[in-house]
Amino acid sequence: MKAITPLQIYMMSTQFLFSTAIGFFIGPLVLKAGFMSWISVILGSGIGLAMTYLSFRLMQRRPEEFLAHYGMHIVGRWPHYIIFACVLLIHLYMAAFVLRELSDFIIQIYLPGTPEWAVVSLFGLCIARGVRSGPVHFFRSAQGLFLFSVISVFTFPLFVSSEVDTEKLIAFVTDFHPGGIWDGTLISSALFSETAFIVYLIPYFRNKERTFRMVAWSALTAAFVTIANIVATLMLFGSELTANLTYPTLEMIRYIWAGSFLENLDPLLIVFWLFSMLLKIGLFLMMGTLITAHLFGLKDHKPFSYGMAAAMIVLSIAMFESTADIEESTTQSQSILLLLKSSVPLLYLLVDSLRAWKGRKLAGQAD
Amino acid sequence: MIAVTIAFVLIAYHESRYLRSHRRSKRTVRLVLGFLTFLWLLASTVVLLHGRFSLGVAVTDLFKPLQQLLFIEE
Repeated sequence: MKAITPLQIYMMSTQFLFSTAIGFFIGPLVLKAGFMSWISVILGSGIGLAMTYLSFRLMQRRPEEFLAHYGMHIVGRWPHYIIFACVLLIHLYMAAFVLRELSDFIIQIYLPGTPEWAVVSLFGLCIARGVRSGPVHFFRSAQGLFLFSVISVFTFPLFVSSEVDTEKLIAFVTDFHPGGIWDGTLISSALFSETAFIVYLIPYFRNKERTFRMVAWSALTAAFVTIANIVATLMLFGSELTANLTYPTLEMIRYIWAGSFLENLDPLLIVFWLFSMLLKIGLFLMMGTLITAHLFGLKDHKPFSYGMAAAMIVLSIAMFESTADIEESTTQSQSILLLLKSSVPLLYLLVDSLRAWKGRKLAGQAD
Repeated sequence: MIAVTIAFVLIAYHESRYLRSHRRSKRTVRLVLGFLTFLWLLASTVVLLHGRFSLGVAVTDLFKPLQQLLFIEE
């Protein structure tokens, strides 16, 4: 069972964090925080890591058990079932949501005219197979293309270096509006707090005490990648245009190669990012599936995997009417949904600590 | 709708064969099939109401006020 190494946790978690961050969240972030989005990313990664650290403290108390199993001893049976049913639905919703964002992107840019169900079903099928193979294989596969993935996302900003307008540099320190930076911080802390996923997978990890260190390194790497991409996009397009583009990073890649001999290379770079997206959606679905199995008291998550994947595919096709709705959802409700999901372990930690404190107090009175 | 039902029936058939070949208890089979039924109901409701009711917009509307509470700028 304990087969996921700390290095695999680092590689998985890094790709998990930067995939949607650079793909879909640069627009909403810049809309709020403008040129000073980089501060929001730094603060947000700090808050996200703090939340993950608290989840890690909860895990350290029972490192060999799943939260979905022992949670009922902390908050009581029915509250636990209700909370975890919500967590399960949020994971399913998030998987469907990210899949929809991704399929919209692929259809608009690379496969115009292809029916959505075809794209979503094929991608969903890959995810279903990945989820069925279990967390250990899934983390191992994250290791496979990690270097290519990171190198390709680092390449995005490098190529624009000759095109940028250096007079915009000053705006990175002068475009200061605290309200917007706070909002941006919330957006990025929601993204970075997603690393709290370790709480659902801890019994699979080897060298558990190194888990948090690895997650912290991954958050650092992902923050660096995200900031590099935000800075490059902002230098190229400025804050107004970046905020109003649906896919700023992609526009940047397409801008670089207009007219150059590398023009047809952008799908090659996108392919590695696509792999990170597959890991992201797959991990959401994996956690949903594992939580289902654990809630029912089963050890094997496999029988639920195809059903969950089918539901994800159908939801992803049918739950939104248009890209405008998706964009509204991304800016208006995604952050709070992710923050709520990540703060569930904190609730358990709080109740567990209160119980331990009360127990000690009672023991003290008895003495 | 028909495609969704067919997909779920096929999945249910596949999973019940998988469970039987691994000699799982009857309780496990019931739980898995029950959960598949729940997912089928969820998926088919969303498909049937497509165009009149959008789950994504409903979730957005549900969480929007909470997010506006935390955010400073509109």
